[in-house]
Amino acid sequence: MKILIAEDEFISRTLLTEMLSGYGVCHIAANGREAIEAVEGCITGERYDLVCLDIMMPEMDGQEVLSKIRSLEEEHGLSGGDSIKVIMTTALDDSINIMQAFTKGHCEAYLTKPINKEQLVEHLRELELISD
Amino acid sequence: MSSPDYINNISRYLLTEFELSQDQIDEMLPLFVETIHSHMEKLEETLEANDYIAMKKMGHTMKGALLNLGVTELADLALQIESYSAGETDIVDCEDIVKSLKVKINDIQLN
Repeated sequence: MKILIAEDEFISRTLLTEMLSGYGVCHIAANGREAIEAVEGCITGERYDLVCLDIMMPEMDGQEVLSKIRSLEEEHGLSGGDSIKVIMTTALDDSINIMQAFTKGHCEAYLTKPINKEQLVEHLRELELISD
Repeated sequence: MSSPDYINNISRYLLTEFELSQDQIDEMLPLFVETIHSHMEKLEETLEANDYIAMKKMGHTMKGALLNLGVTELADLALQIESYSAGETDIVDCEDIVKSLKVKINDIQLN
């Protein structure tokens, strides 16, 4: 599995990387611009299977990154099983952000900090990114 | 709570919640402690500069980091800073919360 972790804060980024490194190759983006550049850079090749996306990040917030990911997919005719699975990983737990991520951004899951490893792994199973 | 308690609590949290090995924790803890102190410095700078937007953002950043370390008591203080709203919260109260957070963050020290 190819994973992108987009998180500007060092501690959260390190812990997410530790949690996910057993399941695949993890790449890091420390702000929103880096995240969309990373996704765009491989959209026609070996795409990311999973993007873990923080919302409040410098340069471009996670909601905008999510929207751009979906636009890129549309441009390249990617849908269904070919689309990138996005799990929001954020300390923002307000309904506006949650609704926006699901309804406009079509994220696959929304996890709030503290990140719970069991929950995260359960989502990976549900999304069929890992098997039992 | 004295500083060894914070460190022990964070270590236990990383061990149980993230299933990290003791070696991983020993390697990460100095970096995490340094990062938390760096966040605190930046938070104080935003307050000194009367940059309340940056202060709220820094409060949010610290909240996420502290929650992921299992230090919920301190994360609650960071949340209060993130939630600061001009006109609703007195900035003097906010300054007191930042001071209070600083005292507690100073207790997070490796021996």
